[in-house]
Amino acid sequence: MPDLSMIQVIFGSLVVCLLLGIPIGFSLGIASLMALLQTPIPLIYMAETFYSGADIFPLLAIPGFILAGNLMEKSGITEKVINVVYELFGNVPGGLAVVTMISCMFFAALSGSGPATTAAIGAIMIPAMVNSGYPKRFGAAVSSTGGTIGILIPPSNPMIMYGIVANLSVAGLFMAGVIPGLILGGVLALQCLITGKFKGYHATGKKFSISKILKVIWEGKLALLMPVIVLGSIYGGVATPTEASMLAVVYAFILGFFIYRKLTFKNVYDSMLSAGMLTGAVLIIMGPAMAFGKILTMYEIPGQIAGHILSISDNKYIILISICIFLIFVETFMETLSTIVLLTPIFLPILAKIGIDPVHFGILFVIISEIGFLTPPLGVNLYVASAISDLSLEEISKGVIPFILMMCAVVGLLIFFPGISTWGYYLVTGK
Amino acid sequence: MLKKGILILDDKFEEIIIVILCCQLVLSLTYTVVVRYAFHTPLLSMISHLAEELATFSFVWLLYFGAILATKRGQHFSITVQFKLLPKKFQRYAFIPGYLGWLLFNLVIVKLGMELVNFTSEESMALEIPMKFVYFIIPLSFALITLRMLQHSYRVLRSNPDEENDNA
Repeated sequence: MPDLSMIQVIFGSLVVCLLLGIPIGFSLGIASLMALLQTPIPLIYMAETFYSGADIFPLLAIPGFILAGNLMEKSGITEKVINVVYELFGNVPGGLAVVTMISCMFFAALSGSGPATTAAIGAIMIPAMVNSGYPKRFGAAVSSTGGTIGILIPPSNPMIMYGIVANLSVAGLFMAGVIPGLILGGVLALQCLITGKFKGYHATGKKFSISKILKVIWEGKLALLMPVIVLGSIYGGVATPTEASMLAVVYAFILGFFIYRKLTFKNVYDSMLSAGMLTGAVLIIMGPAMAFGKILTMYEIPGQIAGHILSISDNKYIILISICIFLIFVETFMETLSTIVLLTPIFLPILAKIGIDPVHFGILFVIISEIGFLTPPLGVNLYVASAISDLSLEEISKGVIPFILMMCAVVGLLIFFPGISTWGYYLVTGK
Repeated sequence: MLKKGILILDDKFEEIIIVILCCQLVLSLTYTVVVRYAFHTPLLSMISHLAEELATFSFVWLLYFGAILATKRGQHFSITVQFKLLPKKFQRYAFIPGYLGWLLFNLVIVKLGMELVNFTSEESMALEIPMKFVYFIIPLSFALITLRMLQHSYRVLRSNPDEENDNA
């Protein structure tokens, strides 16, 4: 059975490389090279994919949104946003935690990444919560959790990647994330309020005053305009998501450098370096992924895996739930974009057979990645919150458990009501 | 003097290229949007076409130079929890077998990449530059990644085990 041996070669060498500690992109490269040796395809194809796998226009949005997020974090935009949310929602039980969650939702509309959202909001809100007598662990947990919403509310780097791999419209996926993002953010903010009520974390005590609200809105008008520019340019047909990401960079730079005067040349230099480095570390997988995808299709590997899975059960909910549980497991130790690149081409053909909409699966994948941001060993948001709060990773990971349970409940809701995840997509694409 | 120059090059080489490529990427794509909606003349639109292609090239180069910097700073995503199962004194050497495999793979890609560069004769669609120059990033970056890996392992193996907490 030559096909079975191909599965063994490719997944066997992948697992061995990963266990040896070889970075995931290079591991997939080695596995694909091993598999190519068994095929008539000339090896030079491997070198070619390292170019053609990266030469994809929508991918350019990823460094764009990373860079925009880095600049915004240091440009004083965050403070303006938090001021507005503080006046609007601060005066409830657990007020500062609610403010953190809602500010994260707003910042999510500017940034495409989870850790960047945690860094921007957490840097201000964790100290603020600690000063008001909230336990530090709770503050760090709220900021890490809030940061995950960054990838569900558009723009979103994982959705860009999913759109490329699954061949879906990125602008459509962005819109599909809005309703689930608002539901998730709303539920988590409510959870903060209820926790605050029971644990006695007090409100800010600020009276709700229209004139004060109008004042902070006016002061923050240029910062508040930013999502209008970024998302408006995409949905107004002015720019592709890639171009919109660059407009976000330019706007954040102008605001931070000339108007709020908080950015320095050193900030800009460091932001560019970290954006470039992250792009390299994450997207080096694109070339190998292309070779891997070709081998998967050539040997009909997803079809074989689908055959095995369907022989166990053909209930679509059981299959979908099992896949989700498997993804949660994988996301605890694998980087998100790499997981999407690697597993989407394997699971999509299976899901197509049982009639699951790829858009629906994409939204589930993104929320599961959010849970992955909060679970060690590779919980990126926890690292950020730990650096800000000086708490250990273990300490914060205990603090986020109630929020993770709530997120799992939302995943459950979305599994059984696919319409919540898909209507935004078809609204944009018009199908 | 020469030694100092090499040290500066070693320290800042990727960084400067990354910053230039980032600026280039942002500026060319902003240009295409501005031209499309504000100054729609045939000449400027043609330049916009060139800018878009240039941006794609810059992106690919940015990606691979980013990967070199990530190697230098040990920022690639690898799974390392399994190393904690090993006895303490082996942990700092645990990266070596993986490094050897990774290194071998890089050398294969350098060789295949050079073949690709040599066999390519076409020119790019808009800018009409020979694609072999653009493809040159593949062997170049994998060679430099290998160099950074060697430097990194030299530093880890030479350093004092007691103050070692590096995970490649």
